Amino acid sequence: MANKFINPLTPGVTYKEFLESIPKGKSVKVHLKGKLKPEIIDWIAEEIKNYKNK
Amino acid sequence: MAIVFSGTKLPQSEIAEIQKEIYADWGTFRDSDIGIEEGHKSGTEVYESKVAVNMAAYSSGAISAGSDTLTVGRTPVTLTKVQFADVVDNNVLLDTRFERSMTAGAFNIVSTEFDNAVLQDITPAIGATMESVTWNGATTAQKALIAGLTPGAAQGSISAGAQTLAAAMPTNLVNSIPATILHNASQSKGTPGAGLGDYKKVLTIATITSATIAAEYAKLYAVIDPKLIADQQNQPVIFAPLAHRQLMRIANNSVGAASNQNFLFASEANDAKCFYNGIEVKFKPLVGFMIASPPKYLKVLMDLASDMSVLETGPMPAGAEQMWYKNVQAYATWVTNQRYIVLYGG
Repeated sequence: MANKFINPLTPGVTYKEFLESIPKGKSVKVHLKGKLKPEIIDWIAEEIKNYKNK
Repeated sequence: MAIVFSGTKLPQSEIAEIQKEIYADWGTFRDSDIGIEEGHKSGTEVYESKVAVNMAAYSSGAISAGSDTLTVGRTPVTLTKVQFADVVDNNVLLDTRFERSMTAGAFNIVSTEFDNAVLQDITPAIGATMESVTWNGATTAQKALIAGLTPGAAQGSISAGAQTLAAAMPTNLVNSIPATILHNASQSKGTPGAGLGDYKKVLTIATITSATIAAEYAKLYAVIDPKLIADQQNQPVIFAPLAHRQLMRIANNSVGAASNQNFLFASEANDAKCFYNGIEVKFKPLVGFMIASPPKYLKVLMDLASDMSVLETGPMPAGAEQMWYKNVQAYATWVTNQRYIVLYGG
């Protein structure tokens, strides 16, 4: 069964939850493509980079 | 006849003026660009109120209890006492130009030239440091609290970028305004007590360059509560990093036909007032963050703001040929009405 799409912009959604919802092997950008505006996808991708570097 | 010289050759002149460091004064304290609250020694209380009323159907009968809420939050804020102090040994100045201004007598080693040219710069250096710590930096404890917040993209959660910026801030004895906005223990927040600040953040931010600065300011401007923009008594101000002035000028004067004057400067002078869509932009030593807020919502609590320029000096005891100097201040940053503060980068 496919994972339910978790919108990272939904209040209360953490980056941890969002990352867990991405199928293995898929990048953040690919996962969000077509679901959010390109500038939002770029920002989320940058945010995830910061999150992983914490 | 050949000249025979033996010994060390020394320069026989010097540039009269001692070339100095720049001690920046960005107006935070001089012009009270934010709420400078004096009269607090060790701690104080901040009260915030909020009234919400409900329209009800008319009744000619006796008034019964309604559902209006008159909220008052009381938050204690502790000030941190800090000092700038050291011991000066004027003997180090022997064998330099400063020796010439020492009074005759081996015991006399105070150089009036050194006092006038170098020692007097301690106070402006303290002022520059206080400006800096007000806008950038956090205590070790505050950094840990900010790092401990759960990041997310939506409003109501800290961005991972903000945590990165906070981690990279200088570790200071006091918290800067951005650090206090990010995490505080205000009892007047939506969720009272220690935790994430109630600020509004700007989504989809991008690296600011002269090419992107207008678009990024547009994003910031769009998030400001319209109530503030309409409030003539309490106009918001955008507090921005110092380098933005240059980026704005470059953007305004960009080469090519597509140049737009997005930023309005009151004159061509380098210290000219700057406005974006009618909101004044004030440049401060912020790093990565921008703040849009009425100035009075951003507070520095002090005993006396003029403490910053008080430098006590005296001789060291027991015949020591040294002197001490000391400056003492009580300091804390605080924020009120946080739901109206926009923290770009937060």
